[in-house]
This record gives sequence, structure tokens and C-alpha cells, in this order.
Amino acid sequence: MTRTAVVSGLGAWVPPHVVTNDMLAAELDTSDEWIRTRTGIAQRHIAGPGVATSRLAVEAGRRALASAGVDGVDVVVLATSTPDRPCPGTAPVVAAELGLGGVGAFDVAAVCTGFVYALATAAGLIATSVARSALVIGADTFSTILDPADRTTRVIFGDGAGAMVLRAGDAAEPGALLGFDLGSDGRGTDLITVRAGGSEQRSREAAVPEADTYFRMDGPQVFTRAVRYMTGSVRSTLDRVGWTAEDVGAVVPHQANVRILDTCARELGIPVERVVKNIDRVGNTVAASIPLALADAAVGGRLKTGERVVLTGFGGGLTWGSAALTWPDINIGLQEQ
Amino acid sequence: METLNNRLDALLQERFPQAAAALAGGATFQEAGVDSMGVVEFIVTVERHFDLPMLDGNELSGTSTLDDARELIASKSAVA
Repeated sequence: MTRTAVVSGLGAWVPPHVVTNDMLAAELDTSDEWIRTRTGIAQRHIAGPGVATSRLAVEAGRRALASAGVDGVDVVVLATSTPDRPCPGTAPVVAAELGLGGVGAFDVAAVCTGFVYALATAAGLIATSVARSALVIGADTFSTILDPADRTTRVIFGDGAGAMVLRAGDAAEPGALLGFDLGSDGRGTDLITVRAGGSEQRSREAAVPEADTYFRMDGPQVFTRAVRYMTGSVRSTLDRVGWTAEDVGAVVPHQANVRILDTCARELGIPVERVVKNIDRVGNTVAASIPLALADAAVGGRLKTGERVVLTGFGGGLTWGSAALTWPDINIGLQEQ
Repeated sequence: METLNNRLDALLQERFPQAAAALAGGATFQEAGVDSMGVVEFIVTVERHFDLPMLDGNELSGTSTLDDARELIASKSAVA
């Protein structure tokens, strides 16, 4: 008999340094009004010098473990596209720093869809009895790969981490992960990318243009695809678990851009108030974005035990994916204020 | 063409009510007060509403007009 993964803990952490729109407007050709109306973002948190992704992941992971009331898990799955180093993965360092012993630990690279992919992976490990419990973390420090002169990306992205603890359980329990949908289209690899730094560039002898070392995104092309693939993925997931759009109490999308989220809600026929948003305070935090939004909504009393929740993401790859779950009865682990 | 115009008018009234009159009068999206994100929202809406193959989001810009949008829909519908 396969087992169902059940959410038993949730934690989130953002670095304390806040960068407001006005602070960005002081060094880039932009304004608070422009950023707010085009993206819905008012501020973002940025990790300081010497703070790598593992640090954020450890902080969120520690809070998720405390939220679940456990001090160990069988496996750590870390979603990130800003690993501490190109090689090895960052998850083993995170597991060690959390004192989790010699458990399995690996990274999942699906950029902004990373958390959904990592969640599906961990749920699969539990379903097949490879693990009885898992710590799933989404963590990114995109501030380390942004072009300081690129106003289009600097205004959007922030740093952060969010984490969930899963345990083996029953599909009827609140917190059960009931269904997933995953997809990709590698033909869109150039739309969201850091061109240099991998084997493709290193296999060549040519000098590396500095521009290629930074993150790039084609905004309009990403917008149209994000709407098409996130809405399609939500519909597929609803079909898979036998829910309709009306059944869903909360949709928690990757916090890409408020205009993308509103367009998705309209296309899906889901009232915008059922779409969870915290992009105004943290920006787009890539793999951390879904668990950060979840933690924010749960702490605010927005998610009720047993409520039907759909997570959905879209990002580089291109990748997209969704997950359907019922909301668990848990305490949330947040940073001390 | 008549049907396309009617459907486009209805879509504008529903989704972009503030800009509908100006656009119908020949204004550009920018002149009608639609910002750059709004133009992409319009493209996504048109793509879905007219069941077009996936558009890039760069087909129209702030300097485009409703005539450009009609041309886009007609050309994409033809190959659909």
C-alpha cells in the first residue's frame, strides 16, 4: 500500500535587511509608483555580504522542524537555483548544520517551480517508503546573481527561505498532499537564465561576456507563458483530485508579479480574494516564494484546518507545477521579530 | 470581421473598461492609459478569448492600436 505524505510543519525566514522601492529608485531609473503598479512589490529582503543560500535554508528548516515538533527527518530536499557552489549540492551542508545526521540530502533545480518539484519528490519518497519523513526547503539568494544595473530584475527579486516537514500518513488527514502536476518546456530555456557558469559556457574557450554571468528574464514572454502554464497546471491538478475551482479555499501561487497572479485568477474563474499574496512585502523570492506565502497566510489566520489548498508555480526551464492538499492543524515557525 | 470586432469590443468593455472608448477611437494603448503590463494582459486575454496559439507577449506594444490587435488576431486565427 502506498502512503500519503502529510504536512506536519512549516517555517519561513527572510534576511532582516529591507530594501524599499525608494532605495532602488535612488540608484536606478525607476520609481516607487512604477514598481508598485507594474509588479505589486513595495519592498524586498536582501541577504548581506557573506550570507549564502544554505544560511537561509538552515534558518527556515530549523523553524519548520520546531513547528512539526521533531528533531529529525529521513531526507532533506532543497529547492534552489542559487546553490552555495556549482558543485556539490547545498542540501548536505544544510542537513549537517541542522544536526540531522547522515540522512539523504539533495538539491532540486526548477527555479521558481522548485518548491512544488521538491514537494512532489519528497511525497514520492514517502509514498514508496524510501523515507518516513522529509524536510522540504525552498531557498534562494537571487540578489547574488542579479545585474546591479538591470532595473527590470532588481525591482522584482528578493531573498528568502521557506520549509515544510512531511510525514507518512493518511489521505483523509488534514495536511495530506493529494495530487501533483509537473511540466516543462526546454525550448524556453533562454527566457529565464544565467547563461554562463555551467558546462555549456565552460566547455568553450571563448571569453565570457560579463552580461552572461548575470540573471536575465524576458518579461513579456514570461508573462504569457506563466499565465498559460499555471492556469493549465491548476486545472490538471483539480481534475486529478476531483475538485472544482469552487471547492478551493485558497490558491497559493508562486509570487511572480501581482499582475500575473490577478490574470491567472481571472482566467481560472477564482475570486482574487482566494489568491494568497505577500509579494508586496517580500517580492519574488523564487523557490522560497510558495512556502513564504503559505506561512504568511497561515499566521494571518487565512488558512483553516481541512481547507482545500492548491499551490502552483511557474519558472525557469521553463517549468511549471501544482500541488493539491488540505490544510493541516499546525503551528507555524517564523523568525522572532 | 464583424464578429471579430463585436467580440473584441465586448472583451474591451469587460476587461479594460477605462481604456475601451479611447482605443475604439483609434488611440494607442499608451494614449489610452494602458501601461506595458496592461498590454501583455491584453495579449494574454486575446490569446485565450480567441483561442489563438500561444503568443510571445511582444506582438503588441504601447504604440499599438486596436487595428494592430485586429490584424494580429486575424493573422493568428488563420494559422490556428
